Amino acid sequence: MLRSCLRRPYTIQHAITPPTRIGLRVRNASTNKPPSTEPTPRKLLRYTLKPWAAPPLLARYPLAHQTVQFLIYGLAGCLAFHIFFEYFYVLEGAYGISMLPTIASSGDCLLISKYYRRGRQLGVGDVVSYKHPIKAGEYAVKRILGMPGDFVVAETPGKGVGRMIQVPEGHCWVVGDNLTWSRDSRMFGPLPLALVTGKVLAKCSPLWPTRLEHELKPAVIEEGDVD
Amino acid sequence: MSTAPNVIRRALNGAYTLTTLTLFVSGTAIFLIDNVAETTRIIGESMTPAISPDYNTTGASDGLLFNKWAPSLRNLNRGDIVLFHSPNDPEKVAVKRVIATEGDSIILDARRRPTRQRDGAELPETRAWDSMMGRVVMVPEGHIWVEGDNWRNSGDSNRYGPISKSLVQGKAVAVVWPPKRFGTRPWEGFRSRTKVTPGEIPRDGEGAGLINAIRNG
Repeated sequence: MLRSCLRRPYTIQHAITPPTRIGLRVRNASTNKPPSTEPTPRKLLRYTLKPWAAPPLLARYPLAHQTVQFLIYGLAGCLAFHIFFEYFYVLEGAYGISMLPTIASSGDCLLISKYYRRGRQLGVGDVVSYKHPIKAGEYAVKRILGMPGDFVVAETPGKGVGRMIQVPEGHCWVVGDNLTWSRDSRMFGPLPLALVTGKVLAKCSPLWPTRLEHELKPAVIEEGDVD
Repeated sequence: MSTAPNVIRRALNGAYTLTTLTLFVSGTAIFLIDNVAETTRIIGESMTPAISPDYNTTGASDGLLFNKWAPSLRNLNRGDIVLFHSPNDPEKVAVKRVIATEGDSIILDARRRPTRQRDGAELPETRAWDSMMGRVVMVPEGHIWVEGDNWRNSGDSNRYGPISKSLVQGKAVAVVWPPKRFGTRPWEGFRSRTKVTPGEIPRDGEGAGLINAIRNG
């Protein structure tokens, strides 16, 4: 009964042409009979009592049918995009100077793979995006320096006594590439791996995409650095 | 009347309808469970007697409905039951009560000293807890202090310290299983022995230097 109510419309005068499915024609096109007039209030009453006898509901109001179809396709599209961005890949813009020179201060889009969320198959040197532990609702991008069990220097090398800390289980130590201007685990401590949302695979500078390198390299000290 | 091509046509149409319907329903279900609400069974006795009161005798666990709508998770009150990713194991999810929010000062409950489960031996966490016991501990910005109601057997902030609010996934709304307790909120009215002095994170003034430096990224 529901199926007969929602069946796609037969061809009536000035109505839309039903789209074909998998290259096939609409079935049962010959068996449907168009009504002779618009539904009158008496006819509507009769169909209220016997809904299976009515012509398909949405066929009587082609504009409503068109709208409902559009909304359903729109909803399906939104759901598909949401699930893809949440569980597969997403492109995000990044702003800030803490990852120079790897990621520019603005204008770069990052391709983030959600396969690596919550620390799955991550290692030292990976550039990851994570939910900020202090500022709720914000995200940040830094490089992993230590996985659970590793020993890391908890301060900036060259400043302070060089105190080392062992990264507790379930946490990681993240540091930005631009050490002088980065607020990272040196300030807020080890980051729980549950906050990691994904690994940054590549960045799209405005002109061309570049793959990011996920390995540690010796630091480059620029002349004229502000201390 | 139904010839062979007709049968194939109808079968394909039926398969198409079934596939799209399955995809639609599962997509909506995934979206709702991730972002709107989720029900889950509470395993373990860390929240007795309010939740899963018979877990250690019969193994019966309560089912709770959690609100996962992000805007309503921004204000967490003391006494809320929250669902969060465990800081020590990213794949595990834990349910505990919020005792203190950011800026509050707490004095630890002496009964909740963390020791090894089977024989009461000392752990590294015991030393950290002992250094906080007797002093007033302030919950840092963006963090919350969570504890399980059952002080005898609960792995909570007494073991791993205050947790970040970003770890919180949901806030409990009501019990949905067993049916005779459906719709109740048996966790309300709990009086915690951990003393909490409400407070706020200083936004201006001397204490605000480092905090503002972290906030303004």
